[in-house]
Amino acid sequence: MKTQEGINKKNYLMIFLFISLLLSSAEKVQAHSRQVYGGDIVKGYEKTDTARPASGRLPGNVSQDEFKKKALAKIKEFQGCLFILCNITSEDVALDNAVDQATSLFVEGAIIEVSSVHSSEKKHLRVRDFLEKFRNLHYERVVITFSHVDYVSNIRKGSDGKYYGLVSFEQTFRGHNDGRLVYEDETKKTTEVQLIVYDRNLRGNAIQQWDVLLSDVEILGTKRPKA
Amino acid sequence: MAKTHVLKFLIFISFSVCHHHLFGQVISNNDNAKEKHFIYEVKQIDEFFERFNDEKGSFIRGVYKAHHVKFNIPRQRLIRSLFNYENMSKDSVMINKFVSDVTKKKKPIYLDFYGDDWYAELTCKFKYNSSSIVIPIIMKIEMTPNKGSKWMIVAVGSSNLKSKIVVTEIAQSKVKSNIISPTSSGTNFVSLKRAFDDKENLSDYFESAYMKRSNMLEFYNAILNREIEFLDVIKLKYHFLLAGKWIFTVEDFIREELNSGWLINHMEKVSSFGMENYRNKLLSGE
Repeated sequence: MKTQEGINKKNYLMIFLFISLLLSSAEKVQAHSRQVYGGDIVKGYEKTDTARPASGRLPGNVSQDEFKKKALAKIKEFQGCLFILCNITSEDVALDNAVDQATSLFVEGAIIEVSSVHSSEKKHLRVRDFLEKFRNLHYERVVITFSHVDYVSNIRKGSDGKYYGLVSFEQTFRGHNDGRLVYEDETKKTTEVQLIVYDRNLRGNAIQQWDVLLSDVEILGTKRPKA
Repeated sequence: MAKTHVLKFLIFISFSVCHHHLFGQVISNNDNAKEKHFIYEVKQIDEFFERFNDEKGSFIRGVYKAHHVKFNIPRQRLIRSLFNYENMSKDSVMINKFVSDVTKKKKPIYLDFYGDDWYAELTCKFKYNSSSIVIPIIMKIEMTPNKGSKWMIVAVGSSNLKSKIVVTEIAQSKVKSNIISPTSSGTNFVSLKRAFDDKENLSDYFESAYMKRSNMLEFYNAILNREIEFLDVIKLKYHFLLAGKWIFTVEDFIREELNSGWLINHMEKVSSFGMENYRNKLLSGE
């Protein structure tokens, strides 16, 4: 039989464990506002699904998760092309291939907007023009780093029947000449992505397949470039 | 009884210590801090909706899950984090009233992405007479019978535009599938460039029911007849008209603080008359 003292000790131990968990949570993921309050926890309310009407299964039997994973994979593929384009040791054939591969990741007519919070100037470029400019940067060494976390929005059905989403991530670009850093900028990139469903003929049978293509991009310089 | 008091006291202490970690953080220049900033910044207006409604699949919940940390932030706190505290800290009484109203247990209030109670105000720059002109455009999300949606131009603000050509008949579009996608807001409405270049289907992007409103037809004519050329969106602001009594605007604050991104920068409580007045002013381009 447990004594009252034993029960009390156990309760206090639980309380301290609870507090230490709270503190360690705050260390690991620190909250996001200047002012935070410990209010009531809302229970039993009916949630609004702002992802509707594209929630559930998408065309081609694609799940939301599959769509998001594919969208991120395409972003990574695009980032891979940028790595090749800024590698001074890449040969012309490899550079041409990288431009073609990167362009093929986008829908026809996609526009890239380049701007900075420190300037009112905004440039609109076609994807191939953007890549050609990127290819012709004159740095001995370029280091591009991307944020480890990407934001992928809800998927929304357009009235044209296509499905759309957004992917946001951050990028740091550093250009070196003569062994020293000569240019550095930080940008936030947001890319619209589209779900494309198509029929593929396999031994006389039409099989529905799907893919994700990149569309318009906003590139926003968030810090004044160091030159 | 004593045990309850000890428990309350310890929880209070733990929250106080947590506050010490959470208040007014400024990010220093390292990768972890950058990542943390990226996590807490409200990156898109879509994410503003996610947080306001505390959606199950929200980005912030996903990050907590990935870090194996239990998500125990109540909706009240999530909504509080959506205010621009550089401007709105003086309005704490109103913020408290608002948060308590939208999170009340009996009938909580949510934002509806596909609803009629929010608008995007785009301050656009156009090339006009070898110079540039600024024209405000009001857009809203419109649902279509196929359960899809698109952004449509519903009003045009006043400007110095004087179109020389007047067309009263709106040409029907040839292709019905061209739209300004529901996610265009995430890329600063760069798709307007494509839309305004698409002269054959230009009427597709305008809400026909509102065409007779002041400035709309003149603006449509000027675009159609190439008197003005779209350059870019200088500024983007969202107007929310919630539950017939709350009006607030949301703008993008890019700064190295966790309280950044798309945040509420202005709020007022209004009567139903005041709300309709606000809506009419917005839609008449005033």
